[in-house]
Amino acid sequence: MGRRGDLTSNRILREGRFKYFRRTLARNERPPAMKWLKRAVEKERRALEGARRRFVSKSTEERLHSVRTAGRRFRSLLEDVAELAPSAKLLRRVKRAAEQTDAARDATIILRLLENSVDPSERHLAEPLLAELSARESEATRLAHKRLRRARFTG
Amino acid sequence: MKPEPVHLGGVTDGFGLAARVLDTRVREVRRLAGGLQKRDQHGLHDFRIACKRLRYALERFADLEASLETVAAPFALLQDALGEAHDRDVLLSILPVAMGQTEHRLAGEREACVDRAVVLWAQAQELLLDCPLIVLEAASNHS
Repeated sequence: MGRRGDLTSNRILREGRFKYFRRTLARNERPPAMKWLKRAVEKERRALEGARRRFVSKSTEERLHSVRTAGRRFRSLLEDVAELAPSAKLLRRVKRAAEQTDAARDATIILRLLENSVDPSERHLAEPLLAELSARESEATRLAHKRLRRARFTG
Repeated sequence: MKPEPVHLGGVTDGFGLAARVLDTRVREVRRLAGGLQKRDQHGLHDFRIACKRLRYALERFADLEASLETVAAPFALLQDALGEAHDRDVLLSILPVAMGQTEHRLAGEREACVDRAVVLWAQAQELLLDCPLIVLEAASNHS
């Protein structure tokens, strides 16, 4: 028996495992690539812009996370379709927005992890690092807020 | 880590687009899966990023083929496990040397996260075998 990863689409089709799907994908049911793409880009752009606005109105940890998630999804889409719909300027803006939130998110995550995993007998040794991470989190969140206030992802 | 470029020449419909993107991202994930076996920080990081790209692509194209959501689900869990391992790597790199007990605990948790990721990757591979992206590709070629 060959390795499972060696199964090719042709072999699978020969074995007839996906007849149902082939029936459902008639030509008239397929959206044109550019039309689908335009809609997808607009959807991701709106999601990121909405998350940005919510974070700017109130900069909580959850809202920062939403900005980062929406940014990663949008970036991933733009990278995937770069050959069909190049948007270098928009991609740069999205990447920059992500970079502007990296420090805040990193500090928050590491701070929470240290708080939850420090051995009770070593708590006193962790205090300086906890204080440093806490200060870093506040400063980085403030900076992210300041920078994202000016960022725009609309057309 | 730069993403593997997706070649989209000749693509005319949404299904063809989905097939090319998913095909590239699946290949990328499989290429970087060695990082999971090596268990080193750099290899795990690259594999996690590749999993994330594939997961987002699967979720994005689920409006064309709903069953892609099912394939995306284990990748979300896999990404979580790898992310938790990564967070522990970062904390371990800045932890004061004198905190031996905490270090020991974090290192153990890190290994448990990687073990979880290994199991999830095996499950994800099973699902990839039945991934409708193969069908989408075939449909695009058999118009």
